[in-house]
Amino acid sequence: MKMTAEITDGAVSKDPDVGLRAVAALRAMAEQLENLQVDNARAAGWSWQEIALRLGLSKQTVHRKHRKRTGGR
Amino acid sequence: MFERFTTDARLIVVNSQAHARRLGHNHIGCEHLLLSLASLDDTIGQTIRDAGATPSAVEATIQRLVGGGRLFEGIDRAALAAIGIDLDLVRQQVEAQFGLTQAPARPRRRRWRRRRTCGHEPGRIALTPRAKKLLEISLREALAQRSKHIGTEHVALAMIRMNDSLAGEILSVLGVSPAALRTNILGRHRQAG
Repeated sequence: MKMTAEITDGAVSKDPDVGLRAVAALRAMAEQLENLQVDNARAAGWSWQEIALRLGLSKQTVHRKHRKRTGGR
Repeated sequence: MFERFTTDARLIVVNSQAHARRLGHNHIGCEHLLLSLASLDDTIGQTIRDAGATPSAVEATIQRLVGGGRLFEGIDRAALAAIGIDLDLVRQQVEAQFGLTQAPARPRRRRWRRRRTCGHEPGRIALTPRAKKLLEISLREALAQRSKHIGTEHVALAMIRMNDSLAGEILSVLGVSPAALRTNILGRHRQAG
């Protein structure tokens, strides 16, 4: 895929300005997607344990990060 | 409450409502008052901008601290494009699945969690209690200066005095010193008037 090749290009870019800004933007994007997906999973009745398993995190970490927003226990 | 406000000072509140609506917020907080103050077309607005609180910097900080804007708003799309990710394409996919355009608001820190609006009327965005307090303090600032009217400078001084508000937090993020800003506003105002 063309996109994969381009991602590799950026990731190995020697220009720190390009590389670092890309990492920051990716992180911000991933953050918002995580919020969206966790909210959706909670609304669908998923447990924190099930969500944590998919995210590769402990359920305490996921709960601590998202409980305020989702209002879940 | 607004009888003693000058036309320009009233406009701050009116514009704050427009800012809140544009940002997708359902309250008018101190942060929106700060955004209006920074956008003022007078010496007070100029003084605030000179200190480093330009409207665009204030707005970007609001987005970062409060969130609630459009999904992926404020993310550096050029940086993502450089590594082959089309942010608009990602948003399209997400919206096709979820059918929503609002980013989930960032969890607020405890001291803002209980913030709620009061005196709500349908179709109008209400001031938060803290924003109301700010406007009350501007009356006190006017009285302290023996002024019959509450002008933009008094609202600005009140905003600086409310150092525990979101406006205060934004100023500190932008590296604006409240004490220096206060001195400058008082100085400029005396020169002008």
